[in-house]
Amino acid sequence: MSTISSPFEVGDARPSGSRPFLDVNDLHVHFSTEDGLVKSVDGISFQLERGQTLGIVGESGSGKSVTSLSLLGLHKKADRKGRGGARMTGEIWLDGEELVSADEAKLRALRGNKMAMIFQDPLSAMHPFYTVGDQLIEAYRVHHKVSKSEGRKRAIEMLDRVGIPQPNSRVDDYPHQFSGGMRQRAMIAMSLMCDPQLLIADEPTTALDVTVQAQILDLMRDLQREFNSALIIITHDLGVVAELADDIMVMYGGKAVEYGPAKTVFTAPEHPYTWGLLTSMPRLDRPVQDRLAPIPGNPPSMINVPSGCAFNPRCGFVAQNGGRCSGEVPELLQTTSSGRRHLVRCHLPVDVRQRTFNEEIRTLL
Amino acid sequence: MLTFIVRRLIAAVGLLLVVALITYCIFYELPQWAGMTVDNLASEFVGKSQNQDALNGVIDRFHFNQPFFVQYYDYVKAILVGDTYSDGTQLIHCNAPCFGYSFRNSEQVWPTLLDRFPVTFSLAIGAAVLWLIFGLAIGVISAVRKGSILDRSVMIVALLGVALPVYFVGPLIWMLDGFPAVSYSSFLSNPLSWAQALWIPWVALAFGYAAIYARMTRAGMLDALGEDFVRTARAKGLSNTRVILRHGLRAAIMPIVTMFGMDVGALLGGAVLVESVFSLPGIGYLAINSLGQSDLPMIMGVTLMAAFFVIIANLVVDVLYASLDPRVRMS
Amino acid sequence: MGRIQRTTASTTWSFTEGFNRNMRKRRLLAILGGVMALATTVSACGSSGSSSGSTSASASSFNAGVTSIVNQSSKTGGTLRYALTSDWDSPDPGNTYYAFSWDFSRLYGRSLLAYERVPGSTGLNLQGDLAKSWSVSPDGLTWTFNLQQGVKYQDGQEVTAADVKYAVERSNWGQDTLSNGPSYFKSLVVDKTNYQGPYKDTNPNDGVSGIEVDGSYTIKFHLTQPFADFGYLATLPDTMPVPRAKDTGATYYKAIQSTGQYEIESYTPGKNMTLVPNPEFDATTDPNHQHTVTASKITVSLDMTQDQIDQDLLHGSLDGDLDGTGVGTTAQAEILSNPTLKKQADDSYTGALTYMTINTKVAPFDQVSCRQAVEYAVNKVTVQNALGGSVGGGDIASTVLPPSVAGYQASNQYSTPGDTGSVDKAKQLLATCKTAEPSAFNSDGSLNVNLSARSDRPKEINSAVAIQAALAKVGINVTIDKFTSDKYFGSFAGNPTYTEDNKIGLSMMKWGADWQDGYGFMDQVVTSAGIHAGGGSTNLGLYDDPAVDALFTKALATTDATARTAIWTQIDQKVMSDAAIVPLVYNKALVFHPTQVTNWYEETAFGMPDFSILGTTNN
Repeated sequence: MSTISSPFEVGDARPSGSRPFLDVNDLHVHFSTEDGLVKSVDGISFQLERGQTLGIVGESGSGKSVTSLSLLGLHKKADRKGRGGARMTGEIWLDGEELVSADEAKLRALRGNKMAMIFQDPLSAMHPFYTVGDQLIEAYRVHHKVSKSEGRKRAIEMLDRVGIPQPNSRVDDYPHQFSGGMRQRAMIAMSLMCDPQLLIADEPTTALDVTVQAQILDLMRDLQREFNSALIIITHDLGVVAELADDIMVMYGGKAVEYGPAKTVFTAPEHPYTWGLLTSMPRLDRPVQDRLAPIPGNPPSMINVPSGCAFNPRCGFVAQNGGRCSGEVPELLQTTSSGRRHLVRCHLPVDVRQRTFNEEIRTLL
Repeated sequence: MLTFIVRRLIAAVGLLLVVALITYCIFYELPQWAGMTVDNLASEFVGKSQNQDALNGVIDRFHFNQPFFVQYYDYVKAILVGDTYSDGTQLIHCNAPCFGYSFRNSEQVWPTLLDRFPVTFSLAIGAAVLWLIFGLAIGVISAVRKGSILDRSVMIVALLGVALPVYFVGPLIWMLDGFPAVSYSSFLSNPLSWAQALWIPWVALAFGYAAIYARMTRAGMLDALGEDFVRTARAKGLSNTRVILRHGLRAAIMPIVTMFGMDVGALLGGAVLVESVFSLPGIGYLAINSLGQSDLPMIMGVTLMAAFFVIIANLVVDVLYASLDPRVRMS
Repeated sequence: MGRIQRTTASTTWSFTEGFNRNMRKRRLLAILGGVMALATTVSACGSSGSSSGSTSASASSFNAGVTSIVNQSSKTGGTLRYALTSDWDSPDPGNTYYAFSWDFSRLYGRSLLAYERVPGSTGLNLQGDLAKSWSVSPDGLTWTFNLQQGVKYQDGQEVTAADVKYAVERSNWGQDTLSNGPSYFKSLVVDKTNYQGPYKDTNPNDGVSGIEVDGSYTIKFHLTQPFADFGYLATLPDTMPVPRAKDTGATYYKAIQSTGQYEIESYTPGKNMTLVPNPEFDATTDPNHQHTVTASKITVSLDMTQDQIDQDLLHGSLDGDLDGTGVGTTAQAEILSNPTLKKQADDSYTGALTYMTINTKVAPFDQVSCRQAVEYAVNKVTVQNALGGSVGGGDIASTVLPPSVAGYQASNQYSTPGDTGSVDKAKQLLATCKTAEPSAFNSDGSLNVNLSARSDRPKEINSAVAIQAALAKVGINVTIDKFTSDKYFGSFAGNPTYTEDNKIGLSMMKWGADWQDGYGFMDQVVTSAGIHAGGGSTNLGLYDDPAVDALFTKALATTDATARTAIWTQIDQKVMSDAAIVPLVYNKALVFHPTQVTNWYEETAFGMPDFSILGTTNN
């Protein structure tokens, strides 16, 4: 743990009036489609300091990627009648600047500069017709008035830093000439060209095989320490964030369903969906004959979100709770059990949750 | 790369020989297989008197009575080493590449092709520049403003452009402008009058192409703008224009480059319709007239020329593709 | 023989149909474009109407050019601009068979004789051109021409009788190399040595024995039989002198030595021709004023579309359509609907006849009654409409010879009410025919026959359909067989073996004369001279009557013009009473002359404007 304290540590003595480095407050991202309003992100809040790592976890369609793109302002804005793009409300404070209401020019100046993004599947995320070097240089020169040769020096430096051998010659290669892992390293190098203070990695290891995954995660951890940046890792795989993240936010149906320090979420999760994620996670330290327990059902349709708790059609504990789960949207509330801040969105009483986890779930892990 | 080009060029020569063989067959062997006598063949080149001397003269001069493969061999040989023939009173030398001489007026084919080519070239290049600029610009704007009134109206015009043939558009523009003279004058002598006298056929020709290119560009741009690397480009903080042109268009342009190469190649072999509509004496018009007159050497000449340009265009497109798309390797 | 009149467009047939087909394709394009031209007719007429009022439009009225010379003027200078939808077969006077080419060649060549330059039938009178005087021996076998002295080629060399002899030899005996032109001289002139022509027999001392050169200025033609029409032959471009030393055979067209008032400055096949005055031309050698320098430059644009030519004519940016075949359908509508434009147009006979032959060798049409039944059955009004109506097509015909040809006499042996046909009379004759030849009929009494027509001539196909409908009413089931123009005579309709094998009993046909008298028009279409067993026949009905052939021989031996003309009429009537052909329309063309054009008239001899005398008021 770094010296800077997590926002969740109770009793945290923050200088009054100062905001966290990244402060997202009640963020909504809605899209108008022909089929109706899609509430991809429906009121999430989180905070992150430099040097800290937040893991956002969820199935596809949970709203995690939309969240990350909205941080960079990459959604096409809707017109005044709210059509043809994203309608964003809420607040995103980055280092004292509000981004939801910021204009495009301001966002553009921040993008790739103060905040950068590492996309999944670098083969499609890098332009196939330009050399890796060109793309890195472009990322640098858009925010720095330097010559091409200086940009190139910087690109080689960064490629070297992310562990690409012979960066002097590889800089002129095209993305397709790189292996998958190397490409992801190059992608990371590209995001780091301008020393970003906020780094968002969207499924950074999904397209990679397991050994390379570990290398990339190690690299990211090292780089984060070196650059002291705030890091958001977006993934569907709890394993990826298990060792890396300080805090974890589990998203379901556009809402945060559990949010707390990584250790707590892993050791004492209280939301049935988190339990499902944990029990369905393959683990190398367990016998292979043990069957995984997948979460039954499918992620919810974003058009027709189930009433009440969005997870209720797939939840195995609805019966213990009368009609509440399908009738009423639960609040994201602090559980009383923990000394640290630990927020859960569930109708089950806290004690029932804790007992259920301890008695039924823990044994499965 | 070099061996690739050399290999393709050798294949091209073979292909041209086959094209020549087939063309020869269609125009001179097929009618005979269908029962026409050499006299019937010759009768087309004899005036109404149908004098037997004249028929024999034609059969003799045009070698109608020789076996097919001898004729074909002589034809190919003349291209390679030239030929000598008589115009009645003296021997005429036809230097290699000798594509023979017109059955109609004894004009040598090769000089005629060279004489006609600048017209077709001017037409093709002028129109190509127009349609490429307008096609791309309209396509890009439409894609970026997808669904807007601008996009919709432009696409309707583009649909018209695709649907309306040049012999409709040509006279239409012609009429709107009160008939300025359409003609060909050399670019080298006066570029301004060259352009002035050709702009209507350019527009007529470019309209349909521009429409197709606009539609293709639009579709390609919409695809490209949805690509991950465009999102990456935005995430880098690039300006909108730079994202659209440098990243989006660059990716969308590949199929357009291919089509452009093939279209220009095909046009260089004769812009038949537009040349006919505006009576421009280019390769296409020569082709039409030669076909109508069963002027085999001319037909062979224009066919080979057209085939040559299509083959070259293919080659250029492949080379260009490789240089534009680093993922493509020459093999 | 028949001249290829209206070479390029829709009139007579030609073996060089390629030109026609090609032109027609372009006209089709032009018509498509013309749809819009119609839409803008009103505005276009407005503008050109105002310009026509300024000059001597008062001198012009509709059809004025048929009977008078419009805008007569002696003004010289300016550029005279012609255009052509096609190209020459060859501008070489010894290698051309196109009507416009014969008309136009008089600008750069002088034939022995020429037509008087006036409209109407007077325009068929002959006068000397290169020849000062001429005479025929009492036995009709020797024709003597005395040449003008001092006539020079463009290079300054003087023309001699030997050059005329050489010109006739190369064009008629040298057809192994010059294959386009007619060969009347070869079939008429005594040739004891069976001369092989100047290209095969390169000895300059050899030649045709029957052409005698007497000194530098006298040439005599010895004929194998009397040929009263020889004067017409002497007008052919075949007799325009060619110096042997300058003859380059098939490529002489590139280096023609002019004897006329103009010389060819440049000619690029498929593109253009330019003529400039010939400095060596001496008007004192031309007492009949056959050759007048008007414009200081004459240009011809080749291979233009009909639509473009028409619009340029209407806008005054062109002076003449050298095809002489009249305007296209779009411009025709424009002209007829606008009185100002109409004043500048002539609707005149082209000298051609559209007709249908009835094959006398295909049963049961060997029976005259069957042929006559067809004569009565055809509804000529529907056919006329199919051919384009009275202006676009022509007048309903009832004789072999059109009105512009010497020997024409109005008559109608198969008159029906309103020219719409008579089913009763046709059925009556058909019954007679059936009695004589029952085996050729179907069991139900009907008759099957094939009608050949040219697939690339829409009007011809339309008229065939009209005939099909009319004949169906009398029990003749017609199947229309379509063939392309270029193969029509050589392989199909003109190939007797084919027509007999395939029961082509009826054939669509169109014909114009090489010169406007009975022989010029009829020899190749109603005598054995037009039947070729191997194909290429022009007598598609294979009508072969010794009495008719005898009348031709008699006429050609008759020196008195009036008596001769009477025989042509007699032949016409004989052919009609034998019902060998069904005349459909006497073709007409609507020709437009812009206001700046001077000396305009319709020349009867060519069935088109006299292009060798026009001038322009433009500078």
